[in-house]
Amino acid sequence: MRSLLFSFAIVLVCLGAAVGAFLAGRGSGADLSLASRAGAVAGYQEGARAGMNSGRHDGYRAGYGAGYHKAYTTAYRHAYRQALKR
Amino acid sequence: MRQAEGGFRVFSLAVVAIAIAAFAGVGYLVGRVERTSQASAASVQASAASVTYRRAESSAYHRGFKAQYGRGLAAGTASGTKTGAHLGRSAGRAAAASAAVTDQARALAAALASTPVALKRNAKTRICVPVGGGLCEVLGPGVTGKQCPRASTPSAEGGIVCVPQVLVQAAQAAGVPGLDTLTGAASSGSAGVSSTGSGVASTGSGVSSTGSGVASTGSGVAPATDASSTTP
Repeated sequence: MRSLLFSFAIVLVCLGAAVGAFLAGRGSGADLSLASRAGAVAGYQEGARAGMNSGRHDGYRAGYGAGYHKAYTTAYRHAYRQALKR
Repeated sequence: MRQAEGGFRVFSLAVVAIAIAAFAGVGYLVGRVERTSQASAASVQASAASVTYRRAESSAYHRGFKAQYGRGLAAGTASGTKTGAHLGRSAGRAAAASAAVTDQARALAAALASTPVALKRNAKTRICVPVGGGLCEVLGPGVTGKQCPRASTPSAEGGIVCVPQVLVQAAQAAGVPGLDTLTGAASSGSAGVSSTGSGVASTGSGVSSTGSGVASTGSGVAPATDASSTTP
């Protein structure tokens, strides 16, 4: 009985040593969750900045073109008629 | 006996220690193999960044587009109004000027067409045109657009013909009030400067009535060397 307990204790110690060493060997590696979170934050910020700039640029150009075309036609016709009347 | 038992215990402890060290070494090696590499971490980070980049870009693009569309519309309207008004005003003025010139040209053409002057096509105006009474007169600037030859003046009625100054002087000497009367008499005649098939056939009754001597000099007076060679 005593020998059995002694053997069991030795097995436990060996398992503990193996698990501890395993965790110690694995512990100094990179954290994937942390890397994923950092990449998501960086991608969001960069995408938001780029999308905002691009959207502003395109929106301004689209609005400018639409307003210019309509206003130009109207003003041209009006000024042409006014000058022709004089 | 005790020494053998003590040696056995030492040996057992050594075996146990070696076993523990072996387990620890194997565990450490396995853990090191399973350790996450920096490359995989970078790959995961790049993948996450790419996914969130697209989503954020799409949503931010729409927000930015809507935000700046109004400003662009206002700026484009202002610029288009200014440019369109400027160019439209210029074009309108040019069209008005062109229309005025066209109207003047039409009026002139109508006036010239209404005057009893008609020439055949390709009629030469370099030579004088015979008028009534044996006179020969050159078409004036009202028809040709060119100046009268020397020693002649355009008639008062539109400068249709060039009246030699000799005739004017002769008319004045004969008591005719002046050139206006002279030309007025010519225009008020039945034929006046009437259109004939061969050219200007002015009766020139006032001129011819002033004296036959004037009429006799008429052919020699009208040199018509500088007159135009075109027909109206």
